[in-house]
Amino acid sequence: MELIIAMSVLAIAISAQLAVFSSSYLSISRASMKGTAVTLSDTQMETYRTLPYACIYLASASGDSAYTGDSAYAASQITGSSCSPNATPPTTATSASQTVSGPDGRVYRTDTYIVSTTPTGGRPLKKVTVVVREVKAGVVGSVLARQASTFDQAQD
Amino acid sequence: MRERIERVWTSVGARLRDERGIALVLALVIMGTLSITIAAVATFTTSNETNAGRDRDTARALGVAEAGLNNALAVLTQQDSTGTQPIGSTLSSTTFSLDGGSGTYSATKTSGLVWTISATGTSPSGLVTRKLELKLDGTQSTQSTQQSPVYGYGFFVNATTGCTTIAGNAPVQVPVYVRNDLCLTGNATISQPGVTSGTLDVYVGGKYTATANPSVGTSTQKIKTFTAVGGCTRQNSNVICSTSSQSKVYANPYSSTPSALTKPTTDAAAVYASGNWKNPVCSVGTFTFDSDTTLNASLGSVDLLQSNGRPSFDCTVWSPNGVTQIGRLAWNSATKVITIDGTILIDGGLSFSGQSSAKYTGFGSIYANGSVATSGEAAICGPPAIPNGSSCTGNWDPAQGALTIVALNGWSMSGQSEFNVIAYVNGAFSATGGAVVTGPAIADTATLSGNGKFATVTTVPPGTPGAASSTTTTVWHVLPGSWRQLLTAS
Repeated sequence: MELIIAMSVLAIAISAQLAVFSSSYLSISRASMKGTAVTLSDTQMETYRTLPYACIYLASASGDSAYTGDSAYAASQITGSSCSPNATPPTTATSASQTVSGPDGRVYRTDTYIVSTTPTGGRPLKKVTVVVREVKAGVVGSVLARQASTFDQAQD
Repeated sequence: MRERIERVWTSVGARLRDERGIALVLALVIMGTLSITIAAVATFTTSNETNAGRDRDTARALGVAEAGLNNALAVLTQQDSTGTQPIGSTLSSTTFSLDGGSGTYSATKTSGLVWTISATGTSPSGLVTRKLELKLDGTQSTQSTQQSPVYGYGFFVNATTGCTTIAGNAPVQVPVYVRNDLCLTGNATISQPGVTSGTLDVYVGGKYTATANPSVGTSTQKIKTFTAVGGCTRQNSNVICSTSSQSKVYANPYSSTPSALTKPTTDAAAVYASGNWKNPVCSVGTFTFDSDTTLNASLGSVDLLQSNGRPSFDCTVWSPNGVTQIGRLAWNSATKVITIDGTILIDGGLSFSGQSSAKYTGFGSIYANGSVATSGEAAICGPPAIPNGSSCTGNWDPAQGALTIVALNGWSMSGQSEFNVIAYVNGAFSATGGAVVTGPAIADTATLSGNGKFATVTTVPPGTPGAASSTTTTVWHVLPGSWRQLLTAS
């Protein structure tokens, strides 16, 4: 009898531990993905900080439902094809939606939104929002990281 | 006693040898250990999650703070577009939100062309705030525009069709530019002033036609150049321009090379937008430049001096923001002096009724949103000349004071009058009888049948279409190396 009680107590404890380990694994894994996603969004945003103001645009403003369903999406995004006399920006900067491999080897999707905004009493700015989403088995999932900033031509 | 001790030892030994209940104790110990382990793992996991979240917040706060800097750049480049705001000027703290986060930005002008901007950004969770600083540096450049060369002609007609007719008896003694045909009739002449020779240019973009007995220059006082792109006709017969015995044109040399010179354009809407014409600031009396807030000729025709009966006034028009003086117009009914400074716009035509007689001082332009007309005796004399009835005594010296009257819808003069002004006309210029404009007359079409008496002006006053201008442009850029991150409380 005593042994049964002891075994039961141990079973409960070990089950709880397994459950905690399992959820911890998932949590750590997700935190890892979010950390990687932040890195990717940083990289994307830094790309725009290196570009001349005229070169901050998207080649195409269209995307799938995940892209258009984001709060940052607007039908009137800033699009373009060149920014002469400056060098044409890299494809990574002009792609509205792109699938990239993170430093952890996982696949992520980086969505970029560029719209015009004008602060009160100021001239128009370009507002860039970068959203990184998880990709599971080829299916775009939830948002892991996002950040937004604005760009003025005085930065050129 | 000894037996008693042995019994106790025997009893303790027996209990120690009995293992009943030990399993539960061990289980509880192990469970306790596992609980501690679970707690540790949970704490680690939570901490990891928190750190990951803080990383995201940090990145988002930085993005918001950067946006604050850029918002400030966008505002400052507009509010201090000319770079003229004084040192110590500030951009008050302004809050904004971006993608769920919030931030503020403010700026102070720390030197002549440098603004120091600071901005904060707070993550959507409110847990992370980042503060950034940046310097905005201005570079100024000045671009100068030369005065239009049309003012080198005393009589400039921009018509591309038809014939500009000069029919008066008094000689036109200024350079003449007619973009299309020029018709001289009667005893009209274009001749060198005084005893000079070789100073006047006459350009005819079309055909020069002489009817009756007109002439250009004389055999002893030839003009400098004569250009007739379309050739010459005299008494309905084609003649060779350079054969002066036939054409009665005396010049050296002759030419038929076209010129691309065009009349400078007016931008009445821009002039109107530059000033608060509805609400002038008058230190003496009143004057109405505009009765509403639209450029619509709402005043009809304005008799500027009302035969010298207009009460004195001294009114200044400022820019809509009240910072820049656009123009000042004053009239002293006692001394009969008009004072002009800068650009004035009257939302209506301009007329000078009989016996309007004044002299003016200063340099400036009056835009009349309508026609300019005078039909009686009137004199507007430029310094140092003074009015004497319907004429001016003395010769106007444009270097001492000059007035341009810009007629946006034609100019018509008749009767005896003399205006020491520069006449810029959109539409037709007509001077008949003894009416004369002594400054250059620049018009789209023109008819002269009176005593033409034009002169050239070396420098036209400010506000004149095609006047020389100097524009200083300030270009703002971020000062390299000025970006820095500041400590925050969080």
